[in-house]
Amino acid sequence: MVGLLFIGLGRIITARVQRRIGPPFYQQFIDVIKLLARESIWHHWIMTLGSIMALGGLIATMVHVPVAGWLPYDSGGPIFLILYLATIGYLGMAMGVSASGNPNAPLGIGRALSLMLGYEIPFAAILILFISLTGSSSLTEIAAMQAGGFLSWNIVKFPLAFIAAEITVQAMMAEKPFDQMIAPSEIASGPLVELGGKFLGLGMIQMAVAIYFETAIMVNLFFGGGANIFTFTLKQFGVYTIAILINSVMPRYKIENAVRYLWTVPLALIIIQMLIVFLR
Amino acid sequence: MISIGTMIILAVVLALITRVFLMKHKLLSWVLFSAYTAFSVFVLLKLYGNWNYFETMNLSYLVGRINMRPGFMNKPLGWFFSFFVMAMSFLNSFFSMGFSKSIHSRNIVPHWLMILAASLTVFFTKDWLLFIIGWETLGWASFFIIMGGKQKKYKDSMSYYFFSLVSGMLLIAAVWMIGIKFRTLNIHTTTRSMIILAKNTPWQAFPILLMLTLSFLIKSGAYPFHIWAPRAHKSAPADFSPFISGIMIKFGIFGLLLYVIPIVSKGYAGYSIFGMPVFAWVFSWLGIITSAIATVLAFSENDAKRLMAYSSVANAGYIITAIFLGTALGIKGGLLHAFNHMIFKAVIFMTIAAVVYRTGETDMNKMGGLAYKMPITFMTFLLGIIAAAGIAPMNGFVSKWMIYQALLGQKHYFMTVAMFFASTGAFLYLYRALHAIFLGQIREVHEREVKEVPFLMQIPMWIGMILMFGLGVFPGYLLRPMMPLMKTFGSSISESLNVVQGSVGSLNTLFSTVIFILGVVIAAAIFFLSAKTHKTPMMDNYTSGEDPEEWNVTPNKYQFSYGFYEPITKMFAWALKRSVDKAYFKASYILKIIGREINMIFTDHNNWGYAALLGLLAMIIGGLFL
Amino acid sequence: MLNEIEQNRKERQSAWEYVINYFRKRSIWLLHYCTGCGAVELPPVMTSRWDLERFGVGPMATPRQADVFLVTGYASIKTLKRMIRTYEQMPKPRWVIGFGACTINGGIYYKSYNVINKLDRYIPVDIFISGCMPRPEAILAALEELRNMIQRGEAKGYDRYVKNYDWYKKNQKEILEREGSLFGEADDENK
Repeated sequence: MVGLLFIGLGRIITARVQRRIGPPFYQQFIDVIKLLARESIWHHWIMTLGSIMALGGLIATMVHVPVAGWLPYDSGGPIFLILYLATIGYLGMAMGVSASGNPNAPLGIGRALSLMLGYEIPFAAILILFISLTGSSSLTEIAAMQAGGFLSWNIVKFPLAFIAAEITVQAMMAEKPFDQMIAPSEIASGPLVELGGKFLGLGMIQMAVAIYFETAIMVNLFFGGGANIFTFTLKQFGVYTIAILINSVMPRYKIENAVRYLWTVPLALIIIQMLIVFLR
Repeated sequence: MISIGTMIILAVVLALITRVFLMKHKLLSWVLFSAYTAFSVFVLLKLYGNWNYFETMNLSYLVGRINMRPGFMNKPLGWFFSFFVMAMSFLNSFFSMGFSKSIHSRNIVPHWLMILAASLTVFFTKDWLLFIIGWETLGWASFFIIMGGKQKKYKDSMSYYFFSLVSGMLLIAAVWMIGIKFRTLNIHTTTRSMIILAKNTPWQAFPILLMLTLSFLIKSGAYPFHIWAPRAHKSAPADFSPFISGIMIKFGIFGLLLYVIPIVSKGYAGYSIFGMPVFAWVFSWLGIITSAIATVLAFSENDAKRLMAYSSVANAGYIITAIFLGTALGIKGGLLHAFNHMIFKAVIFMTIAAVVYRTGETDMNKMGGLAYKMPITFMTFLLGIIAAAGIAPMNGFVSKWMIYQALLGQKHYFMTVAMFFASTGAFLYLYRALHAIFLGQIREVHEREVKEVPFLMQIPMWIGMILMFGLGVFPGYLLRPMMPLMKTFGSSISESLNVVQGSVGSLNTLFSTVIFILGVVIAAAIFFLSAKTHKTPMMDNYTSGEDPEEWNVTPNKYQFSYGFYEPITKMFAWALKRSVDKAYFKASYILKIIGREINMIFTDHNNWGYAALLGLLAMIIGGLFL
Repeated sequence: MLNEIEQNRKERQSAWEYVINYFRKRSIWLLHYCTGCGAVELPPVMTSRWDLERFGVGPMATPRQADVFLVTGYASIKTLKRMIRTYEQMPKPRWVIGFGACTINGGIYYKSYNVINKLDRYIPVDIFISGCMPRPEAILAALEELRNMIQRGEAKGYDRYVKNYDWYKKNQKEILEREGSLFGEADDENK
């Protein structure tokens, strides 16, 4: 739900950047409810299965990300599990839209997966940096390591890693310049091409959930988690605002250029950061 | 109690019977095969826990100056591998029973039985001699199955046979050196001697270890020997591919774990790098490079079986990396991944065989939309690729997670990143297979003709699905029996049913699965509580308002499959240009020329020049020595 | 046509439908069919001068996602076919806005040999915007009116299409599958 609010606020921010007023902040909720209440067209039950699997996987991922140090059970925010649970969400989405039979959909998914190949590697490098520093693959502990004021946050300690992570997360959220997968004017919004009604509604919820846990991961990695849920959410919104601001002024990469960019700039940044950390 | 030797002889006898008497009765021979595998599973289950069990034959002979008394020993490692061989063959036999009615060679059952006999020999033998015999038998028996007596498959199966010959020769050479050095061919005593040798004089142990490692790596399809894997899988009968991929590739892993890993991890005293022996470090990297290269090669692959073969090579790469780390966690992860891979890759190849059974195609560009006609096969394939990509609730995830943990525990950060690449890449090409075979538009021919496979062939698929999911939720059911096995590698952690301990974290598979299921329930609730749906036919699609029929666009043309990852493939074009295949091809070409020239010397009477030159050379060399 | 609207008004909306209609009217997604010249008026409406997104109105890529089918300007016979296919692919509830004089009576293409004159004969139009071109303010006014109609439950073009399906199909068939010379037949269509 917070994710939906974020998207709504994000739309206002984009509008303000483009010197418009923008929709009300609750617009995204209206859209989702409208879509859920609408007749929807499907081609095969695999579409249903895919949509449900996607949302299920993403919700499960969200549950594993610690929010202000809080988790429903003591899993400690296992980062590998989070990455791979998110993948089942993406697989579900991909499977569902493939079953719609429109070639634009697998085209978009192919781009999304290629992009995934691009951003997973710098992201893995960032995670490995923190895992090597804390000796734990738990997000809770990585967040706890940064306790004690602004100056012990990782964003201050490792600014290069933060820039790399910001670029990576931009690609993860499929915001511009990495929105090849949904490029509406090229491939008719790619995976979403055949989704109408509640399929699209579930798709928007999926997007919201994904944005929520991606920003939450970022906050845990770089902004020291949060004392309580409000500061945590505020930090999340800060991360999302950066992404949205970049999004609203950027054009779009070609997919191979995007992957090449992700394998050079962020990876080089993170390697420099690693060298600085390990040689010091 | 039936001894292991009896089981082996029984398999050989059955092979002879089926070969000589039952050539016309394919179904009957498959039933015999099935009964044999079921019986061996039963016998092996009785053997579990009896780790001191051994048997020697009343037979002794001299090999060189070494007195041999061949025999069998029940060790956990051999037991596990042979158990999986038998269990997977048993599952496969159901599949083959349904399959054999249509397109099938008659030679499969006898040769498969020979393979089973050979694998029992290899897994339980006490000495190197029987090991070599078993190893060679594996090579030729599987060669006959792969070729199936068809001329057009000669080249591909020859490449498989060539590699397995090289592997055998390296093995024989290594064993010969061991025999000379220690005057015995007993595997377990020479292991101890090798550890001492490696500690004191590493450079004497090095060539033996290198040859053995290469021999085993060839069998597991590591780079640069990976080229046999896709060819063998492609030309093998569809119902034998599960066995190649699941089991045959793991023989190399077994060999490594049997001999090389204990020596390298315990005794090697050469140079070390990053706290690891150089030897092990190099081969760990080789494993990761294998998986990365296989992944890149799989992106542009259009044949379903070749694609999955590359996936198998990539997975073998992970396993090699993990076991060469030498830590208890690495070996445990590697072994678990080996067993998990046996299950899920066998299941994936079974579904491909089911597709071949119904359509007769393995080219993915000629398929599409088969899920609408074969839902069970589709579900099996889906769970299989979820496991193969190492995604959360399936069994592949647990073992891959353990390998990550092992890598991070040893601080091999670059290997971890490379493995991330291979793992994400796996997701790419597996999705492409899922889409191109089972989703998208269905071809008109398939729309009319294809239907679900018969129930007999569905049995192993159902069992495979249950195993994949069950072992993903409760890896303890496999890890707990593996405790005696892990004890031989120096780990005595007691395993719990659903919590896996890693080096930098732990994983509770049950809870994560429960949460995933809860998530699915929430999603389903949102879905089914909201407004009603309305089904339309497959071709009623967004086409910018155009009518597909008007443009003569049929479902065959409305499927996106060809050049699926073209951008990514383009990025790797520089790497794909310099392929190993070409190097091999060049080498074989040069060999052919040399062979022809030598042949000319002896046969071509007009060509006295060569003979004269050869004579002159011989005289010069002789003169030098004298 | 008028009778039907009267009838709809008489039918009482259930409370549930009233709530849903509230959400529907606040989130109108457009699919613009921009083959006509009217499309040039849309960018100013979308961008910072008039900012359509204030009302939750936005452009969508495919008919599956969209609520409103915006036909901008004239519709030639060739495009009509695509229009009908697109309209039928949209999930219900779906609305059509006829944009510009051309959709009402053919506008300056009144006597053209291959432009239809009354869009409403082929797909059910909920609201027309007159003018050639209509100003952005007119577009906003039309959307406002459409929103009110949705809230009152009057915008039932899709129901009309189902009820009079045969009539619409007959008209479509007449124009799409007509034979003979194309020239000089423009007058016949408007009888």
